[in-house]
Amino acid sequence: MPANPAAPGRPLEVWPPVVALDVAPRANSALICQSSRLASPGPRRHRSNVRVVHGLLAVVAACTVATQAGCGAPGRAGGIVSVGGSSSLYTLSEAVAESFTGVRPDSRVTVSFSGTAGGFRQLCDGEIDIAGASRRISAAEAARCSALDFPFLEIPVARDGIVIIANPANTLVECLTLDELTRLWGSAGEVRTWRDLRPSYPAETIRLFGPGPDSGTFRLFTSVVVGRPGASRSDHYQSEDDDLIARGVAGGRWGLGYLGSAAYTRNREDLRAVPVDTGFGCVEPTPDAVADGRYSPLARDLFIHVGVASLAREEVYALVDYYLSAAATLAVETGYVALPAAEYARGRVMLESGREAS
Amino acid sequence: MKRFRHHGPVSAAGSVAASVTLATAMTLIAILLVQARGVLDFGFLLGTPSRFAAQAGIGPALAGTLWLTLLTAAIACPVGVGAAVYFEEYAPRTRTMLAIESAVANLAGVPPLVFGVAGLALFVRGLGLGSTVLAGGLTLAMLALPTVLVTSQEAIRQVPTGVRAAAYALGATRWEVIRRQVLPAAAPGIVTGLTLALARTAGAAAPLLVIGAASFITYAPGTPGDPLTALPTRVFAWSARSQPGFTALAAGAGVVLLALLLVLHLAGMALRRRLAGAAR
Repeated sequence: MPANPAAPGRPLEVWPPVVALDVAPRANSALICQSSRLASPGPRRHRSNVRVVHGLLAVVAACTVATQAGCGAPGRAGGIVSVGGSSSLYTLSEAVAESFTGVRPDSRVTVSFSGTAGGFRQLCDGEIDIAGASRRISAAEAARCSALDFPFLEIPVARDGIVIIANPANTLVECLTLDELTRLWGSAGEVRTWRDLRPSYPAETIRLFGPGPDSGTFRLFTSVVVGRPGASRSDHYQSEDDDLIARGVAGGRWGLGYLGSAAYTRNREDLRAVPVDTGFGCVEPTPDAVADGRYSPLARDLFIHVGVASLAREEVYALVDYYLSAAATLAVETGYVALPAAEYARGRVMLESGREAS
Repeated sequence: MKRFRHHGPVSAAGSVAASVTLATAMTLIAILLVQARGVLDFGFLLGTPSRFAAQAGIGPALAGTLWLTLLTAAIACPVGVGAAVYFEEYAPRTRTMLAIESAVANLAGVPPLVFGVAGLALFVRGLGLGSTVLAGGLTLAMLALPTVLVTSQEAIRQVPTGVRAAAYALGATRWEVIRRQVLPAAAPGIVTGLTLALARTAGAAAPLLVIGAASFITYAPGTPGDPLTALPTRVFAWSARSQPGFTALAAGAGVVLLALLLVLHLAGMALRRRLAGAAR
């Protein structure tokens, strides 16, 4: 008998009708590489393991078909409600979603953020159910949605201020005027160091951080401070992730940036809010100042947008309904300002008429 | 080993290098463990994310990562090994083939982020899968494929020509030679490649962030059609928050991820040993 090259000492087995070197009956399992193989003691089991893997592949194939048909993807069905959009509203939506599971333990909610503009795109493309926004939808965005035949509701849920943030170690900067902010954010060349901003400050480079161009906070800030939405110097760190902006300013003594008030509240131990002089003296971005208008023009309403058609889905309606009833309490808890009760009542009227229309 | 003892400086440099590597790894694990102390318990493993650090858990992320690893293995393994068999055993050695082969092999060096961009266009938007576990699994499978392919090819090349020749001499067909001789002999090497590839994909956060992993999710994904969430993206989300509680949570999720990778490597080692034993 010839020596077995792969296993010296073991004679070759003969496998009719063709002669083959069947030294390893596990060839199949090696080909398919499944780890359940580890649990099986002997070669006799390998057929069933192969079946397991075939089953798994069938599941993958079935899922592909199912999600393509639209019954598995988030934002479309399956009892899942997906919330996206503005990062300024993320904290509130997260809190609402979390409390909602306390009321309805079987609810399936996801919350993410992509900026207000990104949220509108995803909403009207049917990728998410509810889009948070830190401004009203623009005419161009609304036109795109109506071109897609996508009617939606715009419901205000809270109010907040845009907070100018500095490092706690930077105690020099007590207050900034709107004019100074304009010079700072208007063009790249003009203000490079703190001394350029105000002669009494040190000649240290200002390290700037701010929201990215998809952000509603960015649009409002630039239109108020620079005078035109989207017009801002671009030679600074921009992100849709508010926590990264907070990290950046907290990371160096001479950093400066701006954030929605909930993101500021979440990171307040590492940051200092700089009061802004809008012509009525230096105003801190406190809830009172935001509520009574002293902090305007840097205060704004926050909205959720929801497609009329998706209100036909019970879980979407229930979440929006819960959002309106819980927003006042949770807004205060998470660093926003609650709207007057009448606003929430109006929101509920909108919601009911939307549901009838769906 | 004895032979090398005379090479004093080289050996010394080698042991220094080894100690530095070991010390780096140990320090990293120690830092994670210290930061994560008091976090790791069953409530953390099974709970859902929360804005209150004390109540937050990684249940959905853990389930997501297990799903993703399973899907990645189920997709990348047959495709990668199949392609390796084709390139090594069937493909003509033409210049075009060699160009294709090296192009695919070079994909192993492409940053994971780029695979995320491709996955977003292909699976999330193109196939209309949305930001689901399945879309994530397909994207990670793309990321794993080049590694699986290259290591499988290498393992197949290591099978001695004599084995093939002997099998052919006994009248075996080409497929029988591959199935009964080449693949069993190459299996341990293939498993090594698969383990490495899965370890790489299990820790990848960037491609999943690009294809839209949920930041907050109230339940664990139970099917591949559920929304995407995974341990690395959870670590990312928590580590960006500055409150002390969340830093500990991020470290805790990191420890669980490391433990998972360890289990993966041990499973790979055990499987490799069994396969090597079987082929001998």
